[in-house]
Amino acid sequence: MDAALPTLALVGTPNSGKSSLFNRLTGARQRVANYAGVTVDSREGTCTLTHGRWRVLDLPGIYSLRAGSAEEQLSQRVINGWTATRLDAVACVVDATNPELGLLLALEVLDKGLPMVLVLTASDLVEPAALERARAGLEAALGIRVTTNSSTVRGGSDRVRLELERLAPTQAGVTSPRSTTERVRLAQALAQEWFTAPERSATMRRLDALTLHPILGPMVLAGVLFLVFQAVFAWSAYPSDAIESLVAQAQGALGTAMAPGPLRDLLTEAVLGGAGGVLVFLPPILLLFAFLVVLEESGYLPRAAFVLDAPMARIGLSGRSVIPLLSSFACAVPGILATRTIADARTRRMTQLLAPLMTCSARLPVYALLIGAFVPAHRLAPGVNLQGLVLFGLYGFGIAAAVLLAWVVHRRRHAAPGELMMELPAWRRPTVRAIVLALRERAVVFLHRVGGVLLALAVLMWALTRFPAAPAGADQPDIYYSAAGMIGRTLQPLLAPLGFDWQISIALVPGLAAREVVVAALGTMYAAQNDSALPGVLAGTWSLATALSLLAWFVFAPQCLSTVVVLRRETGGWRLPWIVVLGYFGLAWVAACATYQLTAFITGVP
Amino acid sequence: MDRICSFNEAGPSPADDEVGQPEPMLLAALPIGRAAVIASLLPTPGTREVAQRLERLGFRVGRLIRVIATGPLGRSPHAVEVGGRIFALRAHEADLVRVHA
Repeated sequence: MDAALPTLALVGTPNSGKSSLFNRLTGARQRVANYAGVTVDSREGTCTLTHGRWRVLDLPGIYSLRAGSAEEQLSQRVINGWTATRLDAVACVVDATNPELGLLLALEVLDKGLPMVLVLTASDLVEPAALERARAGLEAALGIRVTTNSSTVRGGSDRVRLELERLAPTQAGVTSPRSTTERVRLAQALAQEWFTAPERSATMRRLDALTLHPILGPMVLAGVLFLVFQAVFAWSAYPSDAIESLVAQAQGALGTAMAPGPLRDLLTEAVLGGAGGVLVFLPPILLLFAFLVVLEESGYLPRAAFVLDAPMARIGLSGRSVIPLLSSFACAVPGILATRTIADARTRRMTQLLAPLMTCSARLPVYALLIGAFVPAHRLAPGVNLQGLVLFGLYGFGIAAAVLLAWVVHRRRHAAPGELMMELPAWRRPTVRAIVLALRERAVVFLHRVGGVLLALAVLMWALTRFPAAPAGADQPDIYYSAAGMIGRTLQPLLAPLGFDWQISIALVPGLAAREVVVAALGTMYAAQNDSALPGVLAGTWSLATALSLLAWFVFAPQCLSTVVVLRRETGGWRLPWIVVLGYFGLAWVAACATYQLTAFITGVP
Repeated sequence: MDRICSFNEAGPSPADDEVGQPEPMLLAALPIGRAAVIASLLPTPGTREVAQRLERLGFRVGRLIRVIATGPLGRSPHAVEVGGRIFALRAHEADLVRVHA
């Protein structure tokens, strides 16, 4: 971004409509959510006015210029002028349905002496005439320009642009009270004079009474989660299958069009295969996120966090950990990113540590393969069969392991209770536009952050499994002699107590890049002609003990590289990434070893 | 403990009873749905910052407050309505708020 442009910062309390104004000013797509703290990075865009372009910063929402969570501190430092970013103007966004906190913040920002426009945002709850009265009243009382921007009315951002053009370089004669007590009194007085507090409707009260109820609330939550996961599994199969067959067609077409050789293999196997492996996860991840966005936009997710706060507190987490952990069922990467909204450092670290234990969608292909090969499809009840039950059990195993781990760490610490202090925003009807925008953003994040890494690793793994080539007259599959094969054979003695033969040990190596690659690697190892033959081959080769052991292994390990990379970035150090990698390998080894030895003992078949 | 002192702390004086101004109560003791007025924010030495943040969120003396939901058996967390907004507070956070019913 051009640093020479004059810089405008958008400031406001969480949920004030700041992000929506940013979108309209810059034309950028940036989501606005109903959950406090969604803007995790400060976003940048440019906005063209008649006298030139401006650089626009969208800062994370804050309640005050004093201490707060990590992301709040970012906004505070920028406004206080403690960063390299020099601000030329500030647009302070105040939610007209909830003006008091916004006005208090505006008074604090005003004290910094920057040219400022106050923007009143309003939902359709505020009638236009009342909004205009408030606008004129505030303008007279504060001596600064005040404008309105309604997210439901077009043209609001044009009015904001107009005010920006009129901004005086300095604001002589504008004074803000210096002491906090006076500011609070003024903000309260202004809010009472110009705005009437919105009444929560009877429907909203009933929704709150139901979803926050100590007994009914958890039942509603369980029902909602059941429906969401059920729908994700039922619906994502079709688009995933379609993507899979498209990739296969492309591989076939390229295979016939190009001459045989390493380049063709690289393109078809590594690039197309790797890209396909990434894209197949897009449908379940997007579906899960679509549901999460609807729940978030409606205002339900913070209520779910409220209901789960008490049980979470017992293991040292908080209600704020709920959303990151739920997202981790799609993919741990966005889950770990979402932990930024947790102000308490200890709770945040714990949530980041546990996020990889939630069964992400990349484990599904491995689970599906092994369950399909070893668990009979007994029908236990209408709609319930043994295979589904085992899959459900694996999800439960991951959650139980997380709970146990959190409990052990929490017991050892005897720490003071962490904080919650979270706003439960008003209920809203989610708009299609908001959902589409949010999904697009998530898809881009996934493809960009995860996809890039996965694709690069797929290519690397392809090279490792292919070179060096097998010697002439080799009696083992080519991969046995490759670099990956050597690593796998070196690991094999370590994995023998888990019931893994050298083929499995080798297949686990590419799994370090992405778990789902293991399925393809096993296919290569056991020389299955096609994917549908693989379960049969495995069922004939492995004992039940080995299969269950491998399932237990995958609950904990391997942690894919994108997770490790994101942990490194989010924690700013290598400590937590190493704990996650080594700790979960250790746990995987113990869990798999116990599973193998126990099953072998019971069945009598090693 | 000193006897005279404990006698003095034993409860509101008769004069207080006559003017109908009972001692402020803990927010947690307020029945769900009953409106009350915030009497004070009483931070302990370690919770000054929590009290300040509550104040910034709108928990200020003299404002109407209402508990709209609690966790199981009336325990943590509490959903509290103040100034038209709802906040979820843990028990140790809510305990800083004293109210007049």
